[in-house]
Amino acid sequence: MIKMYQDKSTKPLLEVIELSKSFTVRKGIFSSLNSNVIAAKNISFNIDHGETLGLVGESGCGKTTVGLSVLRLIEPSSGKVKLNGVDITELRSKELRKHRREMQMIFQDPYSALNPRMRVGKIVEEPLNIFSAANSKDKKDLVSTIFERVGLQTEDMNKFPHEFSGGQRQRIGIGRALALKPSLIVCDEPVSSLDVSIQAQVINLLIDLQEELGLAYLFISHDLAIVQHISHRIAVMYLGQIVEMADCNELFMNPFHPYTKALLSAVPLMNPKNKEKNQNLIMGDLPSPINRPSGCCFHTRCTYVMKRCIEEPPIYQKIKKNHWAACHLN
Amino acid sequence: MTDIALEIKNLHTNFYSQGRVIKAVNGVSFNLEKQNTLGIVGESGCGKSVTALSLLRLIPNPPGKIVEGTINFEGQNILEFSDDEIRKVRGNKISMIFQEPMTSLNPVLTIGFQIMEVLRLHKQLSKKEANDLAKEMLSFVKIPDINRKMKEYPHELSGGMRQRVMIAIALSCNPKVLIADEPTTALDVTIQAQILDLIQELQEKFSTAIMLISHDIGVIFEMCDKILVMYAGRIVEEAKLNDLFELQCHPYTKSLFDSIPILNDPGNIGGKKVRLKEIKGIVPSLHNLPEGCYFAPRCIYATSECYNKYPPTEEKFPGHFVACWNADAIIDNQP
Repeated sequence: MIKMYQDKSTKPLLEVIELSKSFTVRKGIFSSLNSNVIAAKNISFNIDHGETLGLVGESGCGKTTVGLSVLRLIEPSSGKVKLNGVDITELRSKELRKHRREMQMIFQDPYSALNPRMRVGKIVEEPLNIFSAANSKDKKDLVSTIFERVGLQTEDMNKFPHEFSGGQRQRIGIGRALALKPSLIVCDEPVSSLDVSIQAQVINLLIDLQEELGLAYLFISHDLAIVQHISHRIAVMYLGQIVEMADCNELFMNPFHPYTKALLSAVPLMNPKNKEKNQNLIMGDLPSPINRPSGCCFHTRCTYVMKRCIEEPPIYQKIKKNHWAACHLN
Repeated sequence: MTDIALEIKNLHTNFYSQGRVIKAVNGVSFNLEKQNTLGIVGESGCGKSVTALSLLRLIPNPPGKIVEGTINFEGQNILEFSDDEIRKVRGNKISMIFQEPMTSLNPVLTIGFQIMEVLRLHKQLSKKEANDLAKEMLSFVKIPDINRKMKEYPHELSGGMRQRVMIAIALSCNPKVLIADEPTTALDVTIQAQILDLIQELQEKFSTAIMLISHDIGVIFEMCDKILVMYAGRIVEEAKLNDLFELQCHPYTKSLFDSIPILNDPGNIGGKKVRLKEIKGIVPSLHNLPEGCYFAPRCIYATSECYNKYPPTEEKFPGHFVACWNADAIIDNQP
């Protein structure tokens, strides 16, 4: 039954087409003037069954907005999100709910993502109740299977979230996401609040679950090393746009966009012998998404900036097989 | 020994809460050499930050208390200073950069005022002199448009800019020692790279000794000359950067390094997703430490001896200290 990533003939599980999301902010407390913050602009990507797409970028680049829009936890301003060929952006709430079973989310902060007043067994069971997905006898078995699968003790089912450590709480969050046997899980920075030794445990769990259950992940993170470890393909976002997307190895070996290059060279290396100066260090801060730069949004920090970059936005296009980028240097 | 800026001996800091004693720092000794950078790594709760705060006597009392140890700075024990005396050291001869630049700057005072405050307090400068020096400091940390920035409030600056201001404040009195507690953790990688570069550049200019605390081993490796690895309130391994990179003698250091996903790890190139090497189990709670070595319950090399007695710290190679009963076996096992 499990369709693996290698099976290219099937239709993609998730298709995101030209997704945009803007938020309106008031200019001042007493002002009636509004301005638009474009959090995500013309985002398009596919995710196949059993595949992991990594979404990287700095804070404020719109990664989380994309993740939430894909699940329609926030309403996208325009664009389509197709899950198994069905456009979920047009569904009414009752219809949408049927499709929500297929997609789940794991949140960044395992401390605030679990209801502190619910026993953890109930937390994992709740999705089953909402969808009447199992009768009460099966439910118990199912919850204990999930508990064992994510590496928790079944006798801990009656405890409350505060009795667990961060890593264990994240396991509970993963268990809850798995309860309805989804085909897609959006992981929004699932390990960034965990210590490295625990981080490795959670990443390994996610990799194992993917192999076993054929899950697809949209893996949102700012940590390039982790994204490289878990993703099959990677999309790099800057100021609400995807600037480059490629297969994992291709992106790290042959980064094309100057921002991707800068991002890669900014990561501190764990090798004292490789202490050469970062050549691609970029200056300055991320521009505000309210006042987006003209032309290419990266031109204010780019080392290769040309006149053309300031005037016209580059087109996001294919530069070679499975490698897309938006840059005039093409 | 004139080349030692700060000498810490057998430091114990406890916290008392709900009738329990939490041994946050449990017998830590090390030296910070002049003009050098010392890095402390470890997971959250290992006592990195409490060590840093203890050095400046910033531990809130109650619930915390430095119960034992000496901190020698310029021939005097900081722990015996009166409140007035320690206040003259803080921000002047020893200063600190904190993790979260938003909460460590005062939101209702301008940037200019906050830099000048330090200078006027410690250097007794006039308003005019302090103003000039503050501007000079801001130019050192590469803040553009200084005259305007002096009049701005912290919320008007980005995270990276705020951290630059913090660095300017910390270095304005030309301190002997700078303690940087996770200075880049709240920042994005591209900004982190800028700030780390800046710290290195200013270290040369001001010849400051830096104690850098981070959970990010990549940052520590990029910046430090000597590294301390802490686990559950104790130093488990201490070595020079290259020595530690070549050979990790303590099983915790080794498994910590192995568990970190490395960028462009040769084992990970190719289609199949490789599992990371995880450390089983979790960090022990500090009020209920196991008998023997604290890492033993998670250690793959643990023998019965490890569960009985905490291992002594031994110098296995020149300048390379390890606290492990099985260090020799681990060293022999590595190429």
